[in-house]
Amino acid sequence: MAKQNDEDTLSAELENRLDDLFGEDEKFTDDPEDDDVPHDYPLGELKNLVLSIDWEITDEVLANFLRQVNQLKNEYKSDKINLTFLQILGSLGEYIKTHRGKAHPKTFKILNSVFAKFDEVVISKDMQERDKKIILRGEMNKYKQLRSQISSTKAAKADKRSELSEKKVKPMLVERKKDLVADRPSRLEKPAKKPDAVLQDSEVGPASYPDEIARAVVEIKKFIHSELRALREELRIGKKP
Amino acid sequence: MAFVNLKNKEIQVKIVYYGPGRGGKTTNLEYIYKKFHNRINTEMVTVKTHGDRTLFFDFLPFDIGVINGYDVKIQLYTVPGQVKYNATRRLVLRGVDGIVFVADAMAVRREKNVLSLKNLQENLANYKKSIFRIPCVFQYNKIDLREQGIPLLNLNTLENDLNSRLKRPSFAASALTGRNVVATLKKIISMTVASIKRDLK
Repeated sequence: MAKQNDEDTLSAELENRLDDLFGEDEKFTDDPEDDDVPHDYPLGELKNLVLSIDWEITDEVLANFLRQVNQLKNEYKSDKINLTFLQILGSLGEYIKTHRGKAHPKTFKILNSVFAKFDEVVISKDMQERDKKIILRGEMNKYKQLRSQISSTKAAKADKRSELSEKKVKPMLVERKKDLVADRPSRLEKPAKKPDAVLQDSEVGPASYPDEIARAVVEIKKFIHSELRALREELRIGKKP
Repeated sequence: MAFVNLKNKEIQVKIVYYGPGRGGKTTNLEYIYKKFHNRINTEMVTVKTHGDRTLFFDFLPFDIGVINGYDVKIQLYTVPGQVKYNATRRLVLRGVDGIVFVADAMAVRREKNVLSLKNLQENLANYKKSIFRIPCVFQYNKIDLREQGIPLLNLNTLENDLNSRLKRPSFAASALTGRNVVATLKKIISMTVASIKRDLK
């Protein structure tokens, strides 16, 4: 009995203290289950998919996302601002589809941001056209910034790769010459002038060279494709007043 | 067991927000911090990745004053929800006194919730703690998404999936809007402090 009283006192004291600290948060007293849910929210499915991409990138989610974007493009074809938002979302979706987990880390943040602003514009029925344009411009700038960051990262990578390739080509030639020398009669045999260069050869591993080239070509092709796609998108967006 | 300093009459209570990634654990702490930081007079520590994911943990300590003669200090932690960070999750769970399990109410997250709860059970077992004995509150988060037509699990499904055996208090919540964030916090603090008090006897 005494133990029960003790616990009750503690609990009452604690409750009071917590009320003091975290009081005035009673705005949520209704049961969310009883809410009148508006079912005319047009971006429900798109929001679901944006949240899903945020969680994990799968073929299914991305395909549904791009399908949903296209569907909405059709619905909003007469609303240039909404259409532009959707074009940016579509472009980001395509980029994520191509690069998956290797996509620039900011992509997901910008995807969420563009969607959130699009959502704001669609929901706010009383918003002035001028305000909508300001919001769109802000998101467009973020998108452009991302694109230029991606381009510069890729360019830097490509530079490194070509540097690496050059380094590899030279030692390969040295190695080949060395082989030829080895095949010749002994009178032509001369000690290598720079033994360090030979050591470098074996470290680089000429056997991986064709693979490296192939990977680089694929990478460059992808890069060119994504750049062209982005450029096309930008031209399309630029045409809109 | 909580850190208890009998000489200074001080108790440190460690509460961990656990659950699947992107479920809203950090958002819970952010809401509490944003709304009440003047009253609880503290700073929130958070370590995030590039993409805004919790990399290590979030930490929000605050003092609730003297209760029953003891100065009670609360420490709220979150764990990184992503599967790959289990070692960090386990580390954060060391010395935990109470758990808030933040489940994601989105229909597509059903399996992730269950896996995360199992993971919690395993990680607690690592410290010889039982999920059946530790104070725990369930929070079914993102309930606000229903208003936007996003398919959510209904509360019965969530209760059946996660809480049918544990039968702990649960709240439908929205960490983003703050719905039931404080109710969850108050409940877990009450339960944990009461449990520590019982252990001390």
